[in-house]
Order: sequence, then C-alpha cells, then structure tokens
Amino acid sequence: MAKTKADAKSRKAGSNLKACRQCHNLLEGDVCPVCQSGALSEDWSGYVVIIDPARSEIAKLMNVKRPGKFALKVR
Amino acid sequence: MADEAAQQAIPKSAIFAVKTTANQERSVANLIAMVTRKENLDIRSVLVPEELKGYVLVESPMAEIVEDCIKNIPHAKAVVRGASSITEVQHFLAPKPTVTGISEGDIVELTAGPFKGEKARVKRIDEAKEEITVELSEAMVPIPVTVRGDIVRVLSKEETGAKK
Repeated sequence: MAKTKADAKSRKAGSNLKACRQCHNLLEGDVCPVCQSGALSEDWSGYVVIIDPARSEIAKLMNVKRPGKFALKVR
Repeated sequence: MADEAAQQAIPKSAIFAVKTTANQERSVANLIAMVTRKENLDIRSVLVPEELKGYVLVESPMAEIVEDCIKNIPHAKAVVRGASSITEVQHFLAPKPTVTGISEGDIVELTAGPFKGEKARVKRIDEAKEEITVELSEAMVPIPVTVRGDIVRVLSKEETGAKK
C-alpha cells in the first residue's frame, strides 16, 4: 500500500522520468527514442516543455528541433 | 527570400511568468502544454527552472493567450503583469555547477544526508561530477567524505595568504 502511494507521489511530481545524458530528453523507458542512447539519469533538474520548436526561441537556444519534455541539467 | 518573409510574419516571443502553487510547477507546465495542443494556442514553450519556486515561465507572443490558457488549469493562479525578454531568462537554460563559489579550504555545513548539520573543511572539488570531498571538523580521525555540491552551505571562506 505504502509503495503504491509513494509511486503515485513520484508520478505526480514527474520524478519517475529519466533524462538522456546526451540530448536531455525526458522519457520513461530504458532507451532514449531520439538518440537511441542508453545513458540515462534519474538525477536531473529544471524542466522545459517545448511545444512549437519551429517558433520557440528557447528551443533554438537549447538546440532542440522536436517537441517534448526536456531537463535543463542532467547529472 | 520566402524564408525571410515567413520569419517576419512570426510574432516575436516574450516570456510571461505564471504564479503557481509551490511544488506544482511541473504539473502546471504539463497542463499548459496539453491545453495549448488541444486549443491550438500560440504558446511555444514552458520553462520550469529549479531555482524559481512557485512560478513557471511561458513563451508566447501575447499575455492574453497565456491568461486564456491558464483559466481552467488547477494550481495556476495568475499571470504576472509585464513581459520579460528571452535574454533575461537565458541564464536558466545553462545552470551553473553547484560547486561554483566553493573553494578548497572553505568551512562548510552539510545541509542533508547522514552528516546533516556537521561542519567540515573542503579538501577537494570535482567540478565535472559536482562533488566535493570534505573532512568533518568534529570527527576524531579526519576521514574524507565525498558529498554532492548542492548539499553544503559555505560558512566561511579560506583566508588566502594567511597560512600558518
């Protein structure tokens, strides 16, 4: 029961996501679907949702060309 | 030529801060993205820096679009009046390493972990891993302990040139 509660809490906070060390993409699996890298980290901070990469200046600064969720810092 | 015309037709982005309930920043960002896609609004990205508690930053050309978007989003309270430019939030995109400002010989206090509250002297800094090696001041035997750079608070800096 306690485990389920903890799981729900972590899901709510988005902390179950892993960040790709190469492209900073946030994902749930074990392999990054973008760069096919297996180098993932659960220790990340800063959160960006890119909705329209073509027109977003933040996406340009981050060098992101696809919509999605990204971490700002991956340890 | 056509590209230039297309670039000019795109309204320039501005950054609007949305006040949120503390610790709900990510869920608000996800909901803003969801509503944007559903209602086809001109919101281009949502930024949630770790340093900025209780706010999310929304990239959009107009404040009205953001206000319209957050109307029915729980935990999103209001849009802060006024807009920021991209350059003002650029420093959030490349966060500084947590060990910045700590140097060897500094006296620090550990703020988390099993040695929480203990004072220690910094012996070594690993900038790449963002770790520091410290020696606890009150320990009988000086044992080096490696901790993360973000769980220490600098109490006093080492006085340069005042070696005994």
